[in-house]
Amino acid sequence: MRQPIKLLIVDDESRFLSTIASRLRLRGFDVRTAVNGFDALELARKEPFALALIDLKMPGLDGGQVLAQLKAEHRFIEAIILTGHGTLDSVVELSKVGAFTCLPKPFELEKLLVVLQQAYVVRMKKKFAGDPDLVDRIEGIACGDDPRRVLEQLSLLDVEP
Amino acid sequence: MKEKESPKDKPAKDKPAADKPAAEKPGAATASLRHYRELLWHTLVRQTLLYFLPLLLLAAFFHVQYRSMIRESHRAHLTVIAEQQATTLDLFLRERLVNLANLIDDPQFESHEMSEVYLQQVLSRLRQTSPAFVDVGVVDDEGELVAYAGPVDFRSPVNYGKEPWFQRVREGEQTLVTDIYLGFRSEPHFTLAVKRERERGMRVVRSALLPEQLLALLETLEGAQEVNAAVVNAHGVFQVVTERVGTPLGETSSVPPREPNRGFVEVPGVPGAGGWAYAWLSETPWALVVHERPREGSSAVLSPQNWLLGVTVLFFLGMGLVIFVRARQLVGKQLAAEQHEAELSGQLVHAAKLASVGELAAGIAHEINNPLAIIAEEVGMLKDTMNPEFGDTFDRDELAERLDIIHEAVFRCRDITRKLLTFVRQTDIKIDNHEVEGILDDVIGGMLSKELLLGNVDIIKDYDPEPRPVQTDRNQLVQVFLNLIKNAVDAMPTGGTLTVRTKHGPEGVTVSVRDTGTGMTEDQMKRAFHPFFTTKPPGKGTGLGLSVSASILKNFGGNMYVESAPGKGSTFTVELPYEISA
Repeated sequence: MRQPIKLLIVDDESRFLSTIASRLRLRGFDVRTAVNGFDALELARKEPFALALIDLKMPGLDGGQVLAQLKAEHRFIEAIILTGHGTLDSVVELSKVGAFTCLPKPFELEKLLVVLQQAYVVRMKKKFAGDPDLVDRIEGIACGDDPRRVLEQLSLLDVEP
Repeated sequence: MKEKESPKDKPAKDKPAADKPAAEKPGAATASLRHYRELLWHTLVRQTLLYFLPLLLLAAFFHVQYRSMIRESHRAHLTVIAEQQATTLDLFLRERLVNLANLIDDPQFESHEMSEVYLQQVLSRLRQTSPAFVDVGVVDDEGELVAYAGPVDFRSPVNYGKEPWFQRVREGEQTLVTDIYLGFRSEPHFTLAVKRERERGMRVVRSALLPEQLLALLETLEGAQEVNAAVVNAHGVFQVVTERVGTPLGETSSVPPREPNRGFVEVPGVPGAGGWAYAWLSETPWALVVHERPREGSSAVLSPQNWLLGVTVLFFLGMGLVIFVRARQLVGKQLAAEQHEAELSGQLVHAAKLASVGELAAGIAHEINNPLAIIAEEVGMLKDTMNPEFGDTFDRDELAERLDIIHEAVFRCRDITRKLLTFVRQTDIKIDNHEVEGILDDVIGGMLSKELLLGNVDIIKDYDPEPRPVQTDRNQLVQVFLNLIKNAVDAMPTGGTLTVRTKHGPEGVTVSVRDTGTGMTEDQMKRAFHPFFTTKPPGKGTGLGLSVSASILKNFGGNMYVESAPGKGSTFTVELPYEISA
């Protein structure tokens, strides 16, 4: 049975958070939200997330710290950093910490979907790296040009080993 | 550790020239005139002391020396004249005595001495030798004039026995020149006498000389035109003297000292050489006294010394003029340099401001993206609700709600841009009364509110309960506090506590900004206020903020200093007077 892809979004702007979450739910994601880093980490410990969207500038724990912690606690989660500014330095820094990529705000939702797809493919390939046949199938599916379809198909394969 | 630092060489009267001072031209004009005069005065005094005065002293010294030398040489000259005349006189007297000696030693004299005729011949021969001889007479050992040839008509026999000169001769002097006296005649004369001892007794040949002869002699000598010469005896009685000075037998006050036997006597108040020269004769105790003859007319005024003095004075006047002109030039240059410096500092302030604007703008741009993202999502969501794929859940209430949110977000953007624009827009200085607490609140609660929030910085405000307004330009003070608080936040990258304290004293207000950040070393504190000094990585800080803030404060008559220790945080303190006292 198909399970929607679990997505965690962390942002201190609560209005933005709720609206983007609604929109992503319409598109088939299982979205959980948190307004600060601590709550986000708590949620992640309770349920397994495949993907995360993390706002960079937050009071308390900032996005980079949340990212590092998530990557440490969860092996196959892929995180995308949302940022109001994107200097080259910060992108490189964050990649070193484990971000899949950085996406500047505001963004086109379509663009976000493409990025989510790419991140999910990477997750799948890492998670099932030990099964070359499966990896081939993943790559085949990944060539599709509709991100939602690709994600849908890939999620069918995402079962716990 | 406490370090007090503020830029030292800024002229107190300048405001940043890039920002035009709006309403203070009249005050500034008189202030700058006063400044110009002060500067001119100081420069003149300095130049005068340095160049003029030593030269003047030197010139005066040389001048005095020169005059003294001239005087010395003048006196020496007079003394030489006195000597020459004395020597000439000595020679003359000696020759005359020799004449008389020859006469008495002549073998013919023995036999003919009583003969008037013989004596007449003798006299004419004597007079041929020198017209000074007036007469000649023979005197025996009793003092009787036994023979005589000459102009005087002695009515009765003459006896010189009681005359002092005869007594001196009798007592032993072989030759004698007497002082001037009247004797048996009516006019002053003096006597030359030569004595010889014969078997029959002493014989004295005597001859009278008139002082006029000697005077004539003196006046033919070289240098006689410059002087008034006189011959005086040891008691100051004129023997031979020119009419201009006195008469024979008259007394003079100019009695020369016996030692040395020639020299110069200073008499205070006498013009020219300032005294008279003398020389003693050796034949008889007479001294030749030589006074300078005063020159007629204006030649004294045009003397070399006075001419030199005149030229020197003109020279110094010229020099004074040059110094004055030069001083004005120097002052002009200095004022221009000060002006230039003021302009540069104004530009520096402006540059620093632009740099802060740049930093501020970056933060603000980031901030704006958040409300923009909200708008994007709300709009996207509304479109989603109209999308059949998602169920077409379009709902008027939801539309209204989301439109409100969009509206709110739009004005949030406006507030954010406004923060920047108010800071950027104004370039004119406007002095007014402001409370520093209000400005601090604006910076903390408005401009840097997001930074403080994101930086995990706790804010403690400790304001004085009784604030008083301060005379200042609001924008510049905003720049100062913005700079200090931003620095504080930057010093606490992992968060910390920012304490802002204000305290109002009798003269002004003290504002302190304390952070619990990295702190500064002794060396860093020393250089903190230097332009272009920064501890931030390249591209992050311009190093202009503190130096410009400090100069802004100085222009208001205020001050800024820092206390810090590595690891313990820093406290920057600003002192601002209530009234601008620049």
